[in-house]
Amino acid sequence: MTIKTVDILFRRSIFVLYFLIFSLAWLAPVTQHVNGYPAGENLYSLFSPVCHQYPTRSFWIFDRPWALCARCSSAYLGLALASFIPFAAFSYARRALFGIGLIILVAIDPLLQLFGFYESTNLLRFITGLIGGFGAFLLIYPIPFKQKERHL
Amino acid sequence: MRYHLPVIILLFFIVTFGFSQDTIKLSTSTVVVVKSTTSLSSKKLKTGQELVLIVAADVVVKGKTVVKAGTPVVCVVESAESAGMVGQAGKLTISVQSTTAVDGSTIALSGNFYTKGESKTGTSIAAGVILCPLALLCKGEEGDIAAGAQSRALTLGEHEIVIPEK
Repeated sequence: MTIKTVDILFRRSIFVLYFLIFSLAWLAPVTQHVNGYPAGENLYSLFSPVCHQYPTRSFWIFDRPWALCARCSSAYLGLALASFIPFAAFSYARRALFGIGLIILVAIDPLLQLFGFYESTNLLRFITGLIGGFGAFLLIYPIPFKQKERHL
Repeated sequence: MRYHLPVIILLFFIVTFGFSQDTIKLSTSTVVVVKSTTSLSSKKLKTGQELVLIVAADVVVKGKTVVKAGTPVVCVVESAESAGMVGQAGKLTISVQSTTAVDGSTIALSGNFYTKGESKTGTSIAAGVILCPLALLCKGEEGDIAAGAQSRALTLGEHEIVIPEK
């Protein structure tokens, strides 16, 4: 098994896992709309430990909020999409540093809101979440992005 | 005399359509967003105590607001357990009961706020056995709901809401 194979497997696993989480977030209200209450409640409960699920800070579909807030949904989407991007060959340290930088940048929006400077919007939450997802991918991805064929 | 007929027709339309009232059906399981206005703690609240929270966002059906944001929501403390010794965490469950529609009718709701503080049982026992038995008196964290916390409540049953036209 070459590093390239491991790389592809790792990227695909990340994409499947995080895109599944993102999809389940909007499937909860869709399921509830189609099948009626209490359908979809299990999905809301599933995500309650990882997200505050404040309805006014979430996207709505069929008059129901998603099971994850706008920022969390886009962060998972960002993680899934980042697995496709062929980054330049940076060392893990540089990549992780860049990832931390992105996450810090993203943290500014919720912190400013927390301290009452302004009320963020769902669009801004979505954009910052997406950037944060990319940052998180850079942080968790252990394999060099570009390399020669090498056997493990 | 010749102006009387148009004036009468105009008055007829104003009376018929100008002051008509729309009736909107609020179906069951419609989402109402409930928000806490102050921080709530399992230490301060008692089981059975009544609380008033607020509706966080307008409930709009077919373009008409049926429940306005800021309307009080009646809630009851379903259970409040203070943090206890040996690191036991506090728990708080608040049950959402009802709110008021724009026509003054009561809308029954179903939903809840639940929180549990962090348990310190393991730390307390370990420290109590190894270091000092007094560590067993250490309490866990209280169950706290922050001010501004939101929850999804659903309407129970169908309601006919009368919306006066402007």
